[in-house]
Amino acid sequence: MSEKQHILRKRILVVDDDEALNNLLCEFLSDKGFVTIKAFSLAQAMHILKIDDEIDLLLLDYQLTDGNGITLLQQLHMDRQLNEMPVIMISSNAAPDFLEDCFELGVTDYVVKPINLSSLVLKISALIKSVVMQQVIREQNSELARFKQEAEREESVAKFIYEYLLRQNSQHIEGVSIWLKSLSSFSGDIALAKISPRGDFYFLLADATGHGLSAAITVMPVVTIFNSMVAKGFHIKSIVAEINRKLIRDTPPDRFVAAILIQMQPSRKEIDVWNGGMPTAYWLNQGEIVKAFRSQHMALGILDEDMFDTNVVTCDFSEQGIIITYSDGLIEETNAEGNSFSLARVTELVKNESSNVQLVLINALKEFTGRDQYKDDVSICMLEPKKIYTNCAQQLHDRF
Amino acid sequence: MNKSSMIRMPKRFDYASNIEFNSQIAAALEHSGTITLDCMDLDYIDSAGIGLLVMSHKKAQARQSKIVMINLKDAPHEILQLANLQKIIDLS
Repeated sequence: MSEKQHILRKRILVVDDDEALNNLLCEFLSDKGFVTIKAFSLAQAMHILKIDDEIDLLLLDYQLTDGNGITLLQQLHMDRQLNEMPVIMISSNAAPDFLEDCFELGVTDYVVKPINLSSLVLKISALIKSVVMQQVIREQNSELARFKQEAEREESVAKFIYEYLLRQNSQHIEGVSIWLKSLSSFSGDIALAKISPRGDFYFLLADATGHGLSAAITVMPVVTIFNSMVAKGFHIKSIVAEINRKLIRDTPPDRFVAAILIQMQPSRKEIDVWNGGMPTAYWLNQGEIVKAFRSQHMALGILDEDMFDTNVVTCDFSEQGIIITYSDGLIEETNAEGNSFSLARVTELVKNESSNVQLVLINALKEFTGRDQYKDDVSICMLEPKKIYTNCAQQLHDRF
Repeated sequence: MNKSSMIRMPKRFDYASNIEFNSQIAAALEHSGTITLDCMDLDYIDSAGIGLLVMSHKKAQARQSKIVMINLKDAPHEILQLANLQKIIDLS
């Protein structure tokens, strides 16, 4: 704010019974751009303050014929609206205890006679600026409160739509166990499982950059594309290419979605896995790691079509054992000492002979951190091929 | 003329780093060449940070420039490799 701007049209009430001095002050101040109002007595000042509510600053002589300036201040204090008005006291007394009394009574600053006019103007400017700043802060605070309220309203609408869409797209499949703990109402992590018309099983676990509403929105095209393409029997290679294309086109360049896609074709006895940016997934059997599916690719939504790699890892697959996948929220979660859960810990824990490795990991995380609320969206999924294959067969059977 | 510039990465590279980093990249991209990110101090990078790197790679590409990262510590190196960032940015 420039000097001129905050001086402009600011109104100063000059209270001094010395008419010559009062006129001199007013002339000097109006020359500088202030609007001045004269009062030659306490009574006059009180009257003006009662009817004029646009006084920005009070310049007050301590010694007045009908009382001292302090009396006026005491009256001002009674009236709360005027309480915030800056007051500069003029006095011939510079004694520290007198000044202390003045400050205690609400004087903001003082000048000693004979008055140095330029330092008076500086003091006035500084005070007015600070009052203006306070007003700005007050306005910004109430605007902030308004925005917050509106944001909350919008979020609850978005949440409703989001949950509705999710319910439309979900399919519960026996043998697929999804554990998802989101940081807020919206999760940037999503797990989907679907059986195609031909009886193939498809699984996707995705983790969008960030978390909350913006992450959840990024993930929505992933959901719709996955579901519509699986319903048409496309291979995961085509599905990832299409998701990548859509994310490049429709999301900001710094937003992407790490994902792992798994396709099981019961007839082929093979499993295909595409892992772009997700932590290593494991195929386990009786406490042993049969195969580790590492992240071979960049996350979806980064590389242009010509650089995007759809290659999957294919390996012989039996119905034995389980597949565990999880998002990096798990390995990056820290405990009170600042140590992260880490991939190394996961690799050790999955070698557990328990039939429910998912639960082993969930409990380990809780124990490691000492809490059950986490700093990011965390998901842990377990696939049991034997049960899944039964489902696939059942679905085919139901169709024909 | 092909010049090279150096940017010193902070200890923690996440969303909060975006303003500073983006202006450093913009300055470095005023001439084409190699932008070296010195990761000597870098301890932590998250997906938002990776997003910033991806975005600056794209900006660099558009200016016939490239980005390399040097002096990476183990932990952040692992995170970047998980994301397969080495496919677009040189990690040493």
